[in-house]
Amino acid sequence: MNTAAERTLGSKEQTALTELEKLALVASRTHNIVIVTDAEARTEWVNAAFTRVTGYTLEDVKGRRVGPLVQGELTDPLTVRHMREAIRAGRGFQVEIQNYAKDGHTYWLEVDSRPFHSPDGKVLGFVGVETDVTVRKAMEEELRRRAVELRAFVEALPDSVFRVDRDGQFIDAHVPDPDSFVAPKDAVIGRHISELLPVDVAVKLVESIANVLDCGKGCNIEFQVERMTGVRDFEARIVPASIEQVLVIVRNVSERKLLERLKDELISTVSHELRTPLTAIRGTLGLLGGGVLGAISPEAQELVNMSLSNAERLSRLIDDILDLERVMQGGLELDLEARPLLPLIERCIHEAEPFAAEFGTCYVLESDEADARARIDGDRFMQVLNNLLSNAAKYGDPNDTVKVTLKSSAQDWRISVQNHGRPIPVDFRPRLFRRFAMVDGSDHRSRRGTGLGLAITKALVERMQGSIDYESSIDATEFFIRLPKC
Amino acid sequence: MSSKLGRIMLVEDDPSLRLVAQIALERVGGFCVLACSSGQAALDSIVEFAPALVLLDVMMPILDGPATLKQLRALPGYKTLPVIYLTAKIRATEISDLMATGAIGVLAKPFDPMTLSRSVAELWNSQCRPAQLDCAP
Repeated sequence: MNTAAERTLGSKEQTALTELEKLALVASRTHNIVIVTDAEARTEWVNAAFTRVTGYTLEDVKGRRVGPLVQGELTDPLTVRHMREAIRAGRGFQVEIQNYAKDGHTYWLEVDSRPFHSPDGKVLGFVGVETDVTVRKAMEEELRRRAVELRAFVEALPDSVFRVDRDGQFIDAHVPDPDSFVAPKDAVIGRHISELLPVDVAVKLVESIANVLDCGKGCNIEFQVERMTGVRDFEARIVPASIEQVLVIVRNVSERKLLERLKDELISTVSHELRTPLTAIRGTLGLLGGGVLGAISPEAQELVNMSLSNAERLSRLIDDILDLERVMQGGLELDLEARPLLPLIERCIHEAEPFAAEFGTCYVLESDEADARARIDGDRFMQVLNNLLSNAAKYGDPNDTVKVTLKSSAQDWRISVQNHGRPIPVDFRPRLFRRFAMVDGSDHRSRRGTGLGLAITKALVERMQGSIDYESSIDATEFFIRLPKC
Repeated sequence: MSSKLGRIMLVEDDPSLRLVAQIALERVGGFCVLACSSGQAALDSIVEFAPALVLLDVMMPILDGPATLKQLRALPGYKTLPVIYLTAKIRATEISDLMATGAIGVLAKPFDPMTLSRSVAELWNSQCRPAQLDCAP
């Protein structure tokens, strides 16, 4: 509808009016709050977004300052003062401020307020464009809280933690005990591994870091660093942290290493010092009992034989204790390799037969798994099986037939040794795999055990990534080990 | 050169063990034995005694078994004299390390005095056939 007034306007004025309409349309439709005030900050116009965010309508605020309506306890007074000063001075301002809506909930605004002027430069009023940043603020707060928590978490670690890039440059560091590792935190960040650690260690670390980044899997390495106070042992765990960065967690293990070395020495010394005299005693008794130095009376013979069997028992006990110590502490090196199981089982049975014969016991092997292979140490596997075979003979009925089987299951090989006779006493079962566990022998058969066999057996099986368990009933007792297939 | 084992040099620092092993080798095996209490004592008397075989302890002070063997091999004419270790170090890796020093065998401690001589003779017979001994000094 073309009115007379419009027709009287020139094309220049017509264009300006269209522009104004466009702007008004934008202002009313935008998601941002738009607020127009006079020079004293009294509201002249607000858009729909203002009402949506604050709950106040144009009628509520027209002719009034918005500030006192929306500001509250959580509103930062310094920000309020900054805004007031800017308004008084006729300057624009940009702030972030926490305000209250009409219903009392709070929200965050990013405010950009600009003055507009008359042709002669007088401030006529302000146009504020405000963005609701409540969600962003909440996320920032959450991030800050998590960062604080994470920092507290890291600060609590006794280990040094470093963030390192692929080249070996330290990005970030947590060094709780500067003396224990390379240098204090501030002296580390930005430096390269090779500047702070000996060449061999640096090369090892950088190679491991590249490896970890390439395959995405963490790894552990051990290294030594010579300090003023002596050589220190460290253990480092390297894990992927982000793209082209790793976390290196370094622990000072000097004390543990020292103890391990001392213990190894002690075990080796004790072992030698105990075995040597015992070897002499056994040898002497062997010579006497063997009649090498002349015939002895039947009574003397009996005593010598008894002493000999006691010496042998003591010798086994020493072997077992040292063995167990080594296996338990991980000091025993296993020669793990994929090996066929059946030939080893056959050999074990063959070697155990003379011992079993003393109890009238014999073994039968049932298996058609000729190709069964597992990652084992051959000698230690035989030790495990020998323990189960001799236990089966010792603790089964006399003249028993012990059944040995090798079977395949989904992931493992199951090797079992089953005898017949008295079940394992129920009250003894919880102690079965512990050290010095032995069923009280109420009968007269010599058990000839040390009470360490099953403890060693279990430890050995576990070192070979396997497991051991048993089932015992009135009829039969079956011990079985499981070894992962390979 | 006789193909039957006769003279054995025994090197063992522990006096009791030395005595037991000596009696076992002499009385059970019927060998002629010279018992030495250290590696050095063995090296000092080996030329005079001229054994066909050395039975050598491993853990000894100053000169241990492997060190004694090394010095023995350096003597003129002792490159191939058969040596057997007598030791408590009988783990597989230890045995292979010991064999690598040039011994013909490793016998375990504790040993059975009644079977020691037979074990020694068996090792000697299997490893040192006369054909091989011809190469020896």
